[in-house]
Amino acid sequence: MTKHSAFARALRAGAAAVALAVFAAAPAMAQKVVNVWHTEPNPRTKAVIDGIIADFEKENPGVKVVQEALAWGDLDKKMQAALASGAFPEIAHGQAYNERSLSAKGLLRPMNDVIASIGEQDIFPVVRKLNYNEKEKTYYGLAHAVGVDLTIYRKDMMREAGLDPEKAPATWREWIDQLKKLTDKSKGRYGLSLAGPGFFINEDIYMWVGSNGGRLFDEKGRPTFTEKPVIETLEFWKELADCCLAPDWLSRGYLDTFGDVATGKAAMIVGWGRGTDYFEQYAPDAVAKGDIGVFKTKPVGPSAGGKPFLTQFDSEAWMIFKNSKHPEEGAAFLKFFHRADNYLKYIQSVPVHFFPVTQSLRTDPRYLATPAFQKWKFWVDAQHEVIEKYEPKPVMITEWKDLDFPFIAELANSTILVDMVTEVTRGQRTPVEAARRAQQRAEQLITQLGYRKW
Amino acid sequence: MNPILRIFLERAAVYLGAALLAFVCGFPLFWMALTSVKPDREIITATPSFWTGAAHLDAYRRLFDQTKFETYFVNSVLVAGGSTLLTIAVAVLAAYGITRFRFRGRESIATVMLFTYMFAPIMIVIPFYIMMRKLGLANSHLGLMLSYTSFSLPFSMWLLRSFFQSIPIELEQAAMIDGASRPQAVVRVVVPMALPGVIAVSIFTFIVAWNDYLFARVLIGKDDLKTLPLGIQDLYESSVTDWGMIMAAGVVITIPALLFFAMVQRHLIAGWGAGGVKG
Amino acid sequence: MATTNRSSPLGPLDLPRPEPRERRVPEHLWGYVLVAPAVLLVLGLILYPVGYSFWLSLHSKHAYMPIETFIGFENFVWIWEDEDFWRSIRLGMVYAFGSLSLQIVVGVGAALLLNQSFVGRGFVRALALFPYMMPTIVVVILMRWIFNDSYGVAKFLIEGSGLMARAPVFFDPDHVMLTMILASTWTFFPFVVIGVLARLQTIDLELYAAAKVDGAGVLRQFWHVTLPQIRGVLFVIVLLRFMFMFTKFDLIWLFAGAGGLGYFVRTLPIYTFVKSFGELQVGFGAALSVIMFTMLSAFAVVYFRLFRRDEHA
Repeated sequence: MTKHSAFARALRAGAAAVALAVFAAAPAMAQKVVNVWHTEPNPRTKAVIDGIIADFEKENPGVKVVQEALAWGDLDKKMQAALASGAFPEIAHGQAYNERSLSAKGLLRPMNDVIASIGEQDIFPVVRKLNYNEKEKTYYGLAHAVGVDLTIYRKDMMREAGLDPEKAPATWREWIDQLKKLTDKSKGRYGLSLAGPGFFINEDIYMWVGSNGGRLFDEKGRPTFTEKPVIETLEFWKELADCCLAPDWLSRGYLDTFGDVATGKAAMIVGWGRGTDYFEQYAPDAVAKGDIGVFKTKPVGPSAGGKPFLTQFDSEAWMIFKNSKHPEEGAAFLKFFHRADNYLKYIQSVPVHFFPVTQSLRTDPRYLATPAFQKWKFWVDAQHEVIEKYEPKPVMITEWKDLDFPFIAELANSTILVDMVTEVTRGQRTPVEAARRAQQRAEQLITQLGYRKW
Repeated sequence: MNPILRIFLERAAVYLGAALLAFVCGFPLFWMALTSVKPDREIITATPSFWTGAAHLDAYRRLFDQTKFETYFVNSVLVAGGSTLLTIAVAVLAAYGITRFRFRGRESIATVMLFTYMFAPIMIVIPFYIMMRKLGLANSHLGLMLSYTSFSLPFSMWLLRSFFQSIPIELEQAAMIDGASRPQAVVRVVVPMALPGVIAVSIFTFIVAWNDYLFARVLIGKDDLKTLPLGIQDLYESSVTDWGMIMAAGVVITIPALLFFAMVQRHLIAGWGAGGVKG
Repeated sequence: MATTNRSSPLGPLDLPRPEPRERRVPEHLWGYVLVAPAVLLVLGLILYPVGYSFWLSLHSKHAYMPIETFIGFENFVWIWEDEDFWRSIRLGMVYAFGSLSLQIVVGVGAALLLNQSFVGRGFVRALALFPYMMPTIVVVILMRWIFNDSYGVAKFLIEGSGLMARAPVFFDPDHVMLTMILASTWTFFPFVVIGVLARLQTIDLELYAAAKVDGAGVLRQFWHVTLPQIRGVLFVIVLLRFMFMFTKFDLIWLFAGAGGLGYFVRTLPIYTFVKSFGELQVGFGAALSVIMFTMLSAFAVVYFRLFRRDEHA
């Protein structure tokens, strides 16, 4: 056996392996494959979706649905790789600003037929407002469920500090006073725990600016970061960081904040019900005694001028990519997915705070009988009340018109706003300086993206 | 200094150093394993406990029932093993070629290849994915293996080259005069001499493949093909941070690798051909 | 070498008889053939992505759109004027040099230690390699768990043993860079150990015996015998570790992300990621990686000039 022929053999083996790999992929190509990317990676939901897929495939032979559950950060990377190479998934989850960005570039398939099959009027008005593109009179997305951001707190800790656990603070001043009473640094206890990753800082800043009568963009899309309500928000944040936040709050992940409330390290957090499982697992006593509560309102800032608070409407939208291989089959799957029976199963598997987008299912006795819902009914009801009375909006959107700007997604992911907050809370820049710098960076970004209109 | 005292101090220093090293490297493993068998209540407490009376394997049961962990494990082994074998085969050939044959550019090939490390993986990954798609290798283990091999080859070649250089050519020639064919001479004489280098290369490649997150995330879409880092990341990002289960996953990933290296590290000793190889 | 008799017009010639195998194929061709697979794999799989990045750096392109607009060197002008870019260079250097130095010092020290014979050496060797074999994500999760300021065991140990009254908050902005460097060192020092230890094993013990006879103590032995011997391996290891640390993405990303805490460890790879995958300006991102490449090449050239010496002996 010569070295030369050994090598030639290896080469042949390698070629054979490649051929085999391509061959193995071939049978899959005969069927129509629908790729679904979503962001609920908990095993329960994956199993439920597998079940729905199995039923769908029975009704639609020749179509194969493949789900992929991803965390948010990973979805960005995969999305980019997919779009760069033209390998679009049929269906994917996206934030409202993602959906707008993509539809503005003509990459999404209209979903009016899917909405119609569910029943347009059955869908909550605020959801319709979220996903309906006014200019084109078309739906390009559909929220997968409804949830809003609330203040979550420990009633026992409030009682201990001599505060009335049923009284929600009405203004930022009141809130800070409450938090100061709840903070005892010597014991490592803090009034508030905030999440540090950029996504959550974005959330907090737009909610607080909106609760302070402010906005982030003007009519032409120019950022308004140097306006008074934004500066006041930054000052408020600095005060919070100095008095009532843990020194390493920037390193705390979203679920860590739930852990803080569960272990009594913090008395309050802002968030959704994704952490109810966390409370059940790590603070069963507090849950049993009913010491976990949510406020139905949030405090407003000094410049609110009588306007109500702004809170976040959390619902990623299902989107269908026009240039994927089988968008029609994708649409068919979404219609199937939203049949009451199937959708109910999905809602029962995702974190309990998510409730159905359709009013009919929301009041459906089967949904109401879900054990998790029974346990946390007060939480879901609180969210529902917020939706009815106040107008929550998706992340980064302080005014509905902002949804039409095509650069929100890029700005959100750019760390510009996040850095602004970081610099202020760390005392590296004054609020005015930090805001000015953020304004300059944001304007430059929008210009570089080619969307400058002022 | 009293020679006995000096020896005692030297020995003490060695053992102290070894103990420190063992603690720093081993304590996290111990802590991970301990957390994986503690009951939930003992996990998130203000005062951690270093032992538990109520150890249970519930977290492991949850891990294997609720997730596709076994599949991910097998996938990681396949991909890492395949990449390692491929790298060794190709690197041995190349290093041998460079050191035993004269041809233009042989001096600089290994050095030039090292320059590929100057390109940050984060920027290579997207065009790499596009290329794999064109070859039909996206979403396949083979595509992943090729990427790991191409990443570890430059270093492997460099390392093996210096090992082969230090093995005198007289040894193979002696074997060939004794009637062995060239490949036989290489396998029977040269490779055993270079075994520490081959082992080092295999460790490096295996780890590159075993640990990689970025390429696997971008190239692999199907759940059944995922490797362990993806599996664990999904676990961590799920609704609830089940610390017990995550630590259990960490233990399952690490213990087999630990055993493998415990076996292999003995071969880093150049006991082979004692006296035949000069530094 | 054996000779053979060949006749020529000028009379009998004594020509060296070539080795049986080599008579068929010229020597240099063998060399090319053997090196071919390696070269093809590396060039083939890296060349296209690298070339694409260079080309893309001269364009403005949005990640989701298949259109690129040629803008010449404007990306580079923007980068030059970008305060955040310079900051990321500074942070990247701190991280790279900090972790590199520690990895080398700890790695060489551990290799020397593990080269001694002592009871339980095999066990300790296995343990010493352990950090390297964990996936980064597991390391990050484990570190976050151990160094957590609320219920992390590190704080408990540090304060309980009386080492410090109040343990540092490892993940606050003041300490996060140091924590990352320490975590990097813990994870990657085994790479240095493996390389150096393998080399230490092949050092002729005669050299040490000779040094001892000359009266050299432990430190002198290290300086005059060990160090010159491992110099070659260290040369490569330092180069590689620096390149890996300068371009390290996943460890920092998984620990600190881009925003908030990430602000304090936003090295060049992280900054590149934010520009490409966050702001979706892939042309800009490609330009940044071209710059990263150029910086590393310059470093390598200087490094080789200074330290290469008898590398190719």
